[in-house]
Amino acid sequence: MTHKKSYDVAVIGGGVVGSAITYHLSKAGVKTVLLEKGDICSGTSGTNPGFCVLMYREDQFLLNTALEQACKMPGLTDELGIDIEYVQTGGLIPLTDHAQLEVVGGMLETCKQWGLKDVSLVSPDRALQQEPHLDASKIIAAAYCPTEGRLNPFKLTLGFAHKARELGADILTHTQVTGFEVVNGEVKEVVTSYGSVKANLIILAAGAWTREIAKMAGVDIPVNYERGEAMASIPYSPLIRGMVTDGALFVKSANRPAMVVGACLTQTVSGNIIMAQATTDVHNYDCSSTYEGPVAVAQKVLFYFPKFKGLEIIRMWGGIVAYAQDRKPVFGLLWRPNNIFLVVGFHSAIGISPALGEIVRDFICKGYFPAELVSYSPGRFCSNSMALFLEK
Amino acid sequence: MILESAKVICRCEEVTDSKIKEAISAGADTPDAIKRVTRAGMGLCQGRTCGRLVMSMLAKEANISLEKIPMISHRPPVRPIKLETLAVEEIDNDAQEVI
Repeated sequence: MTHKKSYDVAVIGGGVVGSAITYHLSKAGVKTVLLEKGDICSGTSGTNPGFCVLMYREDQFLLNTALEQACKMPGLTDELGIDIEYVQTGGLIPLTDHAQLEVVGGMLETCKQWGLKDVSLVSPDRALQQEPHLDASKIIAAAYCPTEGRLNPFKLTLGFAHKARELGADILTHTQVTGFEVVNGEVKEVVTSYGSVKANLIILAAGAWTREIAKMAGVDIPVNYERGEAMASIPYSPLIRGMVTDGALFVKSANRPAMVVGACLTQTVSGNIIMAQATTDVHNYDCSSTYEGPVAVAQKVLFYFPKFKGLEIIRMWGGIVAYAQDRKPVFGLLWRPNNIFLVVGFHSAIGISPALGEIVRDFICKGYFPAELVSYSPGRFCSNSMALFLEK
Repeated sequence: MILESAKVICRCEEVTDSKIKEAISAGADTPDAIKRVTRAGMGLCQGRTCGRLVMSMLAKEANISLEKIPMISHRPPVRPIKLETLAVEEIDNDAQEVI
């Protein structure tokens, strides 16, 4: 780049969250650039099965955000001019024992208190109406939410990025951030493999890569990542109606095993059945598939769905999912440099990503920051920084 | 005219050359990026048939030399495998502990 372009905002990370933010900022007339080291949706968002989760959200605010978003999802297809393949499929959590029933039952009560009315514990027979191929003899009950849904993460992310470009944003792919030019505690320029970019505000939405990039600005944010493994079958006529999430994943054992395995299934609009998940801690951004992961997932899937033994698997993959040390989202401005805004560590972010884009836009355009999100400020990782953050 | 443009590049997912050209002109500049938009390479053969065709189309349309174009990403399994075949494999629990 021979001349340096100046922007109001530079968004780092072309996943679903970064793309949604770029879209909403561009729509509001904010001059925005999106920096992505690979292709749009080539990282964690591209490995996601597209669950729009309601039953296991972090808090009341995010549950209600997800709930409102669920109503707006069908409209996004028209808004973005691309079919995001959103279907309100319903979601089921099969429960095999009383320990699971107790934990998930408690979770549903909390959901109801937080405002999600459409949720209930159902009998194995009722669970069969949602998922007819489930072996009902294996379960004692199930949690069921008819308003959960599923979408195509590629289409949603690419839709945001394409529309943002139409609205005037610069989308720079294959552009890796290599450093920051910081003057007096403020980032002046983002240094990339493609040259420097001037921006008044940096939004860091780089998921698993967030920590590495924040370090370039001299800050260590305890955001780690774990790898979730998944696989997909060839297309079939409808076999799975909605999203299935293994109840075993909600019961925390005293010793966290090296690999956490559960049967999570869905079927895409194209007919492919996606099966996850086997989660392990990894280093060096390792997205490969292990030998053990798909085998363990296959065993779990066949436990619940013995009829699926003939499914032909064509692809296995891994995706690295970011989580903060305390397993809570990280959302807000860093203390120093003072113009980096972090958006990372939201679990199942896909279902709330459009809303996150709107929240960030409202912060930048109107200075409005939801009080419910203050506790997710990155300031919590710096002993004295909370005071600094609130002083601003 | 319809017939003329209906050259199928990805046979598994029935993706035509015009769809691929459309994706390239919309900014897709790697075979994986083309795959995410068009599904070319997402089917039974996982791009083992169309991968090279997509690469050469990209080279021609975007005027990039072929050797600079990355391959479509390859993932296991090499051939489709039945779920039950996978599930009967025994997992070495000792090996799991050290991961």
